[in-house]
Amino acid sequence: MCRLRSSCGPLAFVFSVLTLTVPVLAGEGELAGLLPESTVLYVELQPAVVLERLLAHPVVKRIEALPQYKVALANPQLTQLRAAVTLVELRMQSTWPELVASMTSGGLVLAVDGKTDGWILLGKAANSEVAPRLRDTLLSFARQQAREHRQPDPVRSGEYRGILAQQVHNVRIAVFDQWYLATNKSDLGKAVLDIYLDKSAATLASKDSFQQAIQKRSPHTDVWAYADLDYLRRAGVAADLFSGKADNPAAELLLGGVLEVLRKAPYAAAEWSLSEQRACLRLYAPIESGWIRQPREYFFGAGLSGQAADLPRPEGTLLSISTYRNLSEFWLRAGELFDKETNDQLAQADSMLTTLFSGHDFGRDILGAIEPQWQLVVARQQFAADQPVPAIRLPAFALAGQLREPEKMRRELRRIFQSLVGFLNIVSAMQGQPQLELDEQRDGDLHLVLARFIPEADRPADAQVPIQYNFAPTLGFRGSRVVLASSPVLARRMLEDCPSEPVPPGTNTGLLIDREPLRQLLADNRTQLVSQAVLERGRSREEAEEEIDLVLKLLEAVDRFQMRLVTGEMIALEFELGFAGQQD
Amino acid sequence: MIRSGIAVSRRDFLRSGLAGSALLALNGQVPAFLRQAAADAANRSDHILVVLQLSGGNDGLNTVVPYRDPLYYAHRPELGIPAGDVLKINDEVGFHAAMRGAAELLEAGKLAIVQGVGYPQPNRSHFESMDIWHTCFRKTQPRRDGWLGRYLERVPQPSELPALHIGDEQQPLALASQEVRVPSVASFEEFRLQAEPAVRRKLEALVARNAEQNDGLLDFVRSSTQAALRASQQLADIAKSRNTAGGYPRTPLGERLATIAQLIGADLPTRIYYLALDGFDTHAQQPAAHAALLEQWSMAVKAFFDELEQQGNAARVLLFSFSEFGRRVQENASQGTDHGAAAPVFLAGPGVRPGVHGALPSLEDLDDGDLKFHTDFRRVYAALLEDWLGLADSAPVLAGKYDPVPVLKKAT
Amino acid sequence: MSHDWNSIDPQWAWSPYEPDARCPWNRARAAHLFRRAGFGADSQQLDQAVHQSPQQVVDQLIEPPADITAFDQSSGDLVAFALATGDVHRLAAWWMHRMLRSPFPLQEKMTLFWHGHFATSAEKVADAELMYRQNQLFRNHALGDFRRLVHEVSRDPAMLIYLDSATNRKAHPNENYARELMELFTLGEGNYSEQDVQQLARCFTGWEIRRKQFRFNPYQNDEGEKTLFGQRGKFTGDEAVELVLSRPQVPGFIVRKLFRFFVADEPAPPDQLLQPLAEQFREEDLQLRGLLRRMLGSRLFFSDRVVGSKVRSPVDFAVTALRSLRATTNVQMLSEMCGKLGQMLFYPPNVKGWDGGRAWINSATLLGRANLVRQVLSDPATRFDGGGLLDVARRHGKERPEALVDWLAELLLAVPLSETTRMELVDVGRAAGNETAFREVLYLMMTLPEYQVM
Repeated sequence: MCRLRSSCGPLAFVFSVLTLTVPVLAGEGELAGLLPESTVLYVELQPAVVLERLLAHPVVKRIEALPQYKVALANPQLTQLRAAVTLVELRMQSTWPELVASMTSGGLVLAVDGKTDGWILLGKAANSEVAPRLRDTLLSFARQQAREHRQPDPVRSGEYRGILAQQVHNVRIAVFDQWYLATNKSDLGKAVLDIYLDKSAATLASKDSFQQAIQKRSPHTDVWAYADLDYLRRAGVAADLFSGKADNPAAELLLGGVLEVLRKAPYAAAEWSLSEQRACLRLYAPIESGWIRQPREYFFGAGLSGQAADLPRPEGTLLSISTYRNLSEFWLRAGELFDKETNDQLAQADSMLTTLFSGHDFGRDILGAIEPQWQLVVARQQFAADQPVPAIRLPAFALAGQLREPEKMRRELRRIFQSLVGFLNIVSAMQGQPQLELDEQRDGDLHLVLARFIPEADRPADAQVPIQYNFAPTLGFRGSRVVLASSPVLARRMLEDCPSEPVPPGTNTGLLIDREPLRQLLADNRTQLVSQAVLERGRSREEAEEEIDLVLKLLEAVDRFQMRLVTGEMIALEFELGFAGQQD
Repeated sequence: MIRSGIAVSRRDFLRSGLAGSALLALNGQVPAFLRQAAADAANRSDHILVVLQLSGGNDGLNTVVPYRDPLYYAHRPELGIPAGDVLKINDEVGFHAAMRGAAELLEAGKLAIVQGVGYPQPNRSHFESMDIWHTCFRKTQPRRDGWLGRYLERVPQPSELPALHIGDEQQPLALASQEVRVPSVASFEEFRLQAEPAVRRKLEALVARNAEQNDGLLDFVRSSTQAALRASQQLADIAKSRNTAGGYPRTPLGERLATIAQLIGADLPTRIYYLALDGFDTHAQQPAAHAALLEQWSMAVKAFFDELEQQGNAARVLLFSFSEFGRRVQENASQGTDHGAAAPVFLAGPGVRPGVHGALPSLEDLDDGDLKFHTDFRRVYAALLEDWLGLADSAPVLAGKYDPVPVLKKAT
Repeated sequence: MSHDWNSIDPQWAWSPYEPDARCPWNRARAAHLFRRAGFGADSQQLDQAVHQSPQQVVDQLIEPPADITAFDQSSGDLVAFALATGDVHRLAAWWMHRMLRSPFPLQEKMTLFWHGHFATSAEKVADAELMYRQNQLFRNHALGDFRRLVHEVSRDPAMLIYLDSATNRKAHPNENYARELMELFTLGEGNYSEQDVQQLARCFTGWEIRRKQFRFNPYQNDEGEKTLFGQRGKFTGDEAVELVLSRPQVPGFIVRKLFRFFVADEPAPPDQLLQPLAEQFREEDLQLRGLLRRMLGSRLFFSDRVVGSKVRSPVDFAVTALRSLRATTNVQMLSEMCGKLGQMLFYPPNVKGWDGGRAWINSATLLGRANLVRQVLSDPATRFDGGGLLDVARRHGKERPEALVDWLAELLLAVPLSETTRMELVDVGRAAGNETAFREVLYLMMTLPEYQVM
């Protein structure tokens, strides 16, 4: 048995001994069957398995190999913690991984009870010996510590229906057969013991919403959580969240529809899983189209019919988003969506935007001219040989959609674009800023209207090219497709038949981040990022360089990140992080 | 005199703290008779002026609406406020429907409107026109300071904080001076000592303990530090005891006026407060945006005087509100209005002679489509300086002799 | 303490400081020199200084050290970043980083002096690159030739934009730069006539800024005869600057400003006291180095009446404590906070620059100073020599609260703490004996009136 930390990797040693194969989430409602119906929050996990998966993971191995990791381990608080663990190991004559495994082989649950407002930790051990022994060991430490500080015995013991119940500080503990519990409310502890002793049927496990939630659980789940939304709403928890009037337009656009569902859904659940290939987090809740009130129909479309378009991935794409949002509807219904102060601000923004868009009503004429399927792409930028390369290289972005009346709107939008550039030029001339030059490119049915910052003729050679040169505002058309981009190159790529990735049916919003272009973007700007860390985080140059190189190195361990908001029978928000294959 | 909730009177406070430090600052460098003059000035008038600038060019015609004039509706087919909606001031004009707070102030005798304020050969650039209002000079003349800055230079100041700019925008040129520095603070938070009560007590003890005469400069810093800690404590006490933000809109303007009310309540010796409300440049979709601004303005000013009334400080305070220009008489094609010229200004507080002063400029006899001014803005400034702040002669400040508009009750 | 300088013999005042029993050369006096001639010294620098003579230390402060080239090189990367963002506030952060880290602090202090003297605000110039070029101009001539500095400032794009002389046409000579050159930069009010202003403005016609560069436009130059200070001639702009610089009032005017910056805020010294320095400055043809060497190495400079006779500016307030403790932090935040306290670098309030002295102090700024310290000390970016304050104190053997308080007082304060204050601070340090308590001691010390003067 590997007991000597020095001879093994500090985390890896833990798992050389973990040979037990335990079914994941063995509880399958067994633990829930001991909890009262009034349980509002329930998190179930298999600590030994979760830890094993995590620590045996190739990415974690990579992290362990980094020199910075060893430095982090030397942290005094960690050292203290390790000393305490060693002490427990010695008393129990076992290693802590073994202990974790045998203490939680039947599952472990952390729950919050609505009736008593208390929390409870409930677990099932492999046998009926280990839990009492661990309890006695821990209690003896508490007593010893109290003696050292000349304090009275901190442990109070009693009995509840023949079961020994103890209290240390604010925590109540009881061990019964293979089971054990710890809670901050004795009523909650008693409720669980009553269920256990009386074999009571009215438990969390028998609750409808819990049953429904657990049936929707994916097979390979390492950690699973359930929240009783009905109860939370009744109790007035986070009332603002459920009320429906927003004060933040950006948050409303991102999450308004989800909040709308949470107003009605009886429960929400979350599941987490990890494998060598990916880590997934999925949040889900039931949904019905009748729950969505009219002002928020912009979010999912009428009858939840809104479907996002494909995710475009032109060359160098580091972020691609595709979403269904009826923005015109959103803008026009702002009065019903937001509180008074926000609406006052939006009224001012509307006045300003309508001025900028040469008198066109922003909500109706501009946003209304475009279909509600929007795509946003952020891509690493390549600069043409004859263009100045700015010292800070920002990525290019492009926003794309479909025109409702292409013939009419192309000319209209082009004119608005031109007057906007003229307006910007007048303002920046007053401030002595560089000027934009209008240009047009036509290529078959592809048409670009663009504006470039003109290079300053007699600039000293060593002068920094300013950050504005990252931008060459471009409006592009092809058929009914329209693109607004910060670079003509990206606009063209978006309009030519660019590669794209389909999204599953029912996808409201899809998001994809690609590792390599992101890593390259950071690498492009390494010097600047180092300087920023020196000025804004008080780092020395060497430290800053080490930090950015570490980030670049860590990025090599991941592959791509995806997020999806999907509706159907359920509404689900899914996050998935893919890992790069082993390289060394 | 003891005001509600505050155990220390303003004069005691001045003697013991801030004014004391200011006078100490003069110690040794200034003859005794001048120091005496400074002390007298500190006690002569405790009037406070709050300038609330409406940035962007407020549409005066849709603020104080000539609802009886058919020409108004002819020029404003889309934007005209229906006669039935206006809050009538008299048989000629009425407030925009969103200005209930202003109407209530008027009813209580605390609001005055001066019609047709402007200056010759109006400039329609925001920056240039605002600079003219701030400095009283045109671009061709040297502009090193502003009218309030020049005022501050001319009057021995009662303390080390003669004026304050509250806001996060650039400090207005009106406060610029070659001699007096006016601090800008973004919020009330900046007057709060970020320290645990125990640390604060420790600090107070440490600063108070070393009261023995030492170096002049150190002594000055020490008494200033004592004053600062005291002011911060008084503000904290006020913040705790006041009835929470009654009636203020939940906007930066509401917060800033509430801050000023608290600073006044804390007996800060500051005489001039300056703040701004931006957003009046309504070239398009004006109705909703303008209504929101006017409602915010009226609510905030009403709540401000309500709080001052509760404190017992209202009679000391006058609020003056202006914009760099009005807007053109004829609305444009985007449901908006463009940059214009003359417009009304507003004075609020128990010290005003309430009601409308001066006639509405003719809607027929226009200057290139704009209202013609009949009252130079410097005449309003002259009233503020002479009739409110007690300056004997405003001519050097305004670079010319201007007859004060009789909009304030004469000081008794 | 009485506050006029009349009782002081000018010859005694400016003769070299020689330590004696009444005015010994010790760590406190060395710290005074480093604070005034830079941004404070760390403990090690003080150790070294007391083993040298005061004159040796002054000589080292006044000459560029060997490692300045390497520092300038790495600082160049930082400024490239600031300029690439085009944000003057980031440029301010870069400069603050130089003040905090430069091995040649007097150069930065003098650059700050010239920035206040030839005050130019980015509020109007609105161009980071031009502000940087002007800043480098001040830095290059920081301790050099005042004559050349004035010539170059007269052609500096940022300055000419700030004083509305970017276009200066024959038909409408702009008097702004001509007036400020004499009133604020070289002679002082009363030492020129209105006619001199008009005539000098004519000499500068045709001096323009085009595409951020100085350009002479012969078509707009008034080549006619001018009368300046009673002399007649077809003076060019450069000749006119020479004429201004040859006025007898120049040395006295500059020496007076340097006295207020380096020696004492108040009261204004009589001409007689400044006479020896002004003479030297004139004799050395307006070279700054010798003048500063004499001023900073003088008996008066090290006398008790001068130590602690200046109010710390916000920059001195923020930078000296950090530099003395070898601290690093978020300088972007630091420079913004100095801005709130009234000294935003690159944004002086007007063409007269910062007033200095008592004008730094009021209720708002004093609370702001306390809150700045609180924020810096609680910011995770703040580290002392790469670690905690406790680590630094341990390294110097100052982990006992008494030792810590005395050590910090010596590094940071120009005036002594009273015994009661000292004991109170020791109590605070003893309360927990850990990092938090040590930082609390530092917070209180920097908030005390004693730290506000230097």
